[in-house]
Amino acid sequence: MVIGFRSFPDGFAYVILNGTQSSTEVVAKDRLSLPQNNSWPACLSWVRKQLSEILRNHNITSACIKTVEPMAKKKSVERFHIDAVILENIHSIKGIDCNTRIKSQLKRDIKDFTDPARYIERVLVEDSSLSELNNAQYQEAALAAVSELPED
Amino acid sequence: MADYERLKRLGSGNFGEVWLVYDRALAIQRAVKYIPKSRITDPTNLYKEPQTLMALQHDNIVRVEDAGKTSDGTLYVAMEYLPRGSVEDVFKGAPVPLSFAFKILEDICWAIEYAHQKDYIHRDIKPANLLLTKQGTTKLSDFGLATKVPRGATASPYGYLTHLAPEVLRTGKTSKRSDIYALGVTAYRLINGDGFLPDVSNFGDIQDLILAGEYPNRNHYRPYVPNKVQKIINKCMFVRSNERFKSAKEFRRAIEGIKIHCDWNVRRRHRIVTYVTQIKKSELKVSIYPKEKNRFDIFTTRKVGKGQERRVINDCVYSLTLTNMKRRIRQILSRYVSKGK
Repeated sequence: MVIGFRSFPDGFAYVILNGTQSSTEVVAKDRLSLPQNNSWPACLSWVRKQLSEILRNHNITSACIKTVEPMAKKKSVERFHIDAVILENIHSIKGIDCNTRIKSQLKRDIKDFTDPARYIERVLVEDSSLSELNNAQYQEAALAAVSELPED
Repeated sequence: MADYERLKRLGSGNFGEVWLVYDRALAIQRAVKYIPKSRITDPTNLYKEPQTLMALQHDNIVRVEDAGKTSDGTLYVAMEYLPRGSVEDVFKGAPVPLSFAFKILEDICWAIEYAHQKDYIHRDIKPANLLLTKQGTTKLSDFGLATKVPRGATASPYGYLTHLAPEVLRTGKTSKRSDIYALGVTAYRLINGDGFLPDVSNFGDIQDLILAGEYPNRNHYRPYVPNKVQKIINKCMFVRSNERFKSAKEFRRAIEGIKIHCDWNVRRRHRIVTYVTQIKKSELKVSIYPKEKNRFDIFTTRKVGKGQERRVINDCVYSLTLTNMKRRIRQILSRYVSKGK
């Protein structure tokens, strides 16, 4: 079972997949928003708590974060913070080194995708089991998870 | 047999007594619950409570450290000692500032979510069982009535009368949804204070009011509590269990989505009631001045410098009747809480 993350300045989304890149099953997905009343450090603590719960409920063997593109015009510091908490926590709880990938790296790790990296979301359109994840909330978390699945 | 020196009695109840003890072997203080043999709820398993706590190890659940029997057969359960005590000890029935009440509720939701996931129901959620740590987080304690139930099943009725869900009184069965109800009553008590509970002492009357959905009064909230907060808390306390939040997680997510911009404090001087808060480092006061013939003025002022105050013209209203004054004060105070301006 693999998990893919995509953080947002106000929370994060995760998608848990099972199977292989050619035969994928969606196990769980959610888009979580940070609590409105908490200070920023308290929000990061909240991310850790949420993550602990996710990892407790699913037997995750591999993880990946779709991280901020180096070419991005707006680089959100909050996203970097949330990514860092996810990386640390997955390592502490599961002993897994979570990967961080940008679009070009996702393309490299997804088999049979030959189009330019900027069209990577087409992977979700082509696979009927993943088409429900082809929206702004889950797209990149799903791609991160697919890149972690074994090829066959 | 543990080497404990009893230092201070922390509390007592039907279950027995809780003492602050000094553990001579490890040189630390612990809170130890002593339960006489006659008061053990499940005689088939003396160690049910410590075993439940052991199975439920979570950041927001009080930690069990030791358990055993004394020479006279009394059961003891040693737990971590939290010197601040319970929410009830700290606030003594007074309303808890809204933002802190939310923090307490969020922490407790995490604990209940975890217990429910592991198929335990607490059956005794109330402010006296919410313990505060030095860091300001809250831990759920007293699992003496907690029991494990298979998914979707129910258990026998136990709990604090005023926190018992209507279906528990009607059918005699507790479930995860009855924990949600107790959580709602706890939330109501934290936000409004115990003074807002109907003044009924008769057991039968309380029972009737609970069954009718009138205990606590769902329409009676502090004036600064925004409508959406009232709706969320009332949803926990629906008489029909299937209309309540499905889980503590759903309730937590609802309260996490609400931004509280300020906490109001009430001051009473002679007949003038003043609500005070701090918004963006400046003090805001909303005062209610009674006038002749049951008329009231509302003055809102903002501190602008040392000893200087300026009226917030839009929030100053004069010569209102009692009903209009109540309505207007509710609008003003809750607007500052939910919008900050």
